[in-house]
Amino acid sequence: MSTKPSPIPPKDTEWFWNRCNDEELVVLECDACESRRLLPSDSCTECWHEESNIIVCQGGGTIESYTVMHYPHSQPFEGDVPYVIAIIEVDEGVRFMSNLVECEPNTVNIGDKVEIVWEQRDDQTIYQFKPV
Amino acid sequence: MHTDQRVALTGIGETDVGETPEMDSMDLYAKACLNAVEDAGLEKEDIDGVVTGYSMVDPELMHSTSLCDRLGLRPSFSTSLKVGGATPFVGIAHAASGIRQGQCENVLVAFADNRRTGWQSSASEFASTTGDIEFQHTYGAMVPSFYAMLAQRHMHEYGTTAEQLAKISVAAHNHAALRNKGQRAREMSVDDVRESTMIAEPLHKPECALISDCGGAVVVSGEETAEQTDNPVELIGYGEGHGSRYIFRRDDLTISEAIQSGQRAFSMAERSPSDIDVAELYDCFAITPLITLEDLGFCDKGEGGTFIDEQGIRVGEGFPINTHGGELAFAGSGVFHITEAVRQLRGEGGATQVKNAETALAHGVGGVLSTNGTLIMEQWS
Repeated sequence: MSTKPSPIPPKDTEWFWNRCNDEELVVLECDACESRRLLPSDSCTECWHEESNIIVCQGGGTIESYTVMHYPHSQPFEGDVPYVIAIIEVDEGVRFMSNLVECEPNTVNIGDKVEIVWEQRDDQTIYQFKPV
Repeated sequence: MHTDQRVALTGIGETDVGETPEMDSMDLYAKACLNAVEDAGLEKEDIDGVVTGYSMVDPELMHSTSLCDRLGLRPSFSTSLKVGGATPFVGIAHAASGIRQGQCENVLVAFADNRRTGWQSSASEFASTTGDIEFQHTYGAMVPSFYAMLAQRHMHEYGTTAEQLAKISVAAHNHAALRNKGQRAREMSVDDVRESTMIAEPLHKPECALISDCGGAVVVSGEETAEQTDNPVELIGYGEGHGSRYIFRRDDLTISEAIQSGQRAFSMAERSPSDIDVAELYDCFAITPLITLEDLGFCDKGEGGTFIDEQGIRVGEGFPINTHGGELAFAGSGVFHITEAVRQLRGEGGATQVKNAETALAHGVGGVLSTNGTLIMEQWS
């Protein structure tokens, strides 16, 4: 019986997913230019400065866009159809892709406010969002 | 800044498209190449450059080298590029540069793959080959999801309608049906499209690219050869534009780096959008030509839907696009946008020939609007 994919992080993103296991969604903020990013590259993607701070997101966000999937990604998603995929901009200014859970797909709108929820996927806790 | 040295597309080649189980990816590449060289009226000995792409079914580390072994070529200029669907477009720009630098004179630029046959064994092959495992696949997201979210945002910001989006698919199917050629060569109405299977809202199945076994190739030649061939088409401008691999790293979901690739190509060509008689715009999903119509400067940002309604994008209407049927109705590769542009300028467009087509634009896209390659061509004089 196949299960939904769990992120299999390469070495450089392990720390990000370890924080998820502690139910903390983190982003990096550059020490020099203060730009914030999801992708955990060693250097700032804007100014190449190599020192960054970790910011823990508070959990609030806004829907930038979404779609309702009527075709499953793979067999483990078949039972979820129709399911929602969204691009969420968290209040800290960084965007993530996730599902929208605990909602009716046809009630979703761009601009809606959402909050983070945590889902257990095998040994990994992953972030999801739900409408508030 | 550009060189005065002229380059041309002197030959085009296509394989059968759709389902060709007897041919693997490299077979399709090779066949398209042989057809292109024959079409150019050139010989094997004339070819001194090769630019290929990749295969998502049978990956090869040194793809162009493998193709050269298949064709018995030992070129002075050989590489394989990997910029998604923009690969043959960027490949032609790359070939033109090599010719202008004096590295080669006649370059085969080819793209092919056997995804329809190759992926039949596992539907999730398609899902797993693109996109990011950690941040996207975890959530059941795949390529149609990403483009669907671009469409949703465009509709939200500019009032683009489902009907306007459907018209892109209608035009593509109309063109394929008129030519009676292609994997889905049948007429479809707006209602037919909107009543079809929904894949990822708002994209229905006919608004999503075909998955095909297919191959296409062109010969890019220097001026000396072009003058000796029967049917050259001049490549007067080209440009690239590159953005993020990830849709969630885009600040604005309604624009793309086709803005930059178009500006660069028009600048080199010393032309503007009003000079273009026919445009072959990469249509992996119906939203893509709508966005690139705007970004390439054919209309203002947000006006793509209105443009489609008021100008019309079918042959015989104000601004025909994808006159071969595109990825939505002909076959799932952007290389055919290029071969069709050449065909149009030669006057060989047949049932979908645009009248007095003197200048054409072909635009390719890879990833999620991540890579862009714009080509501008003109009748050789």
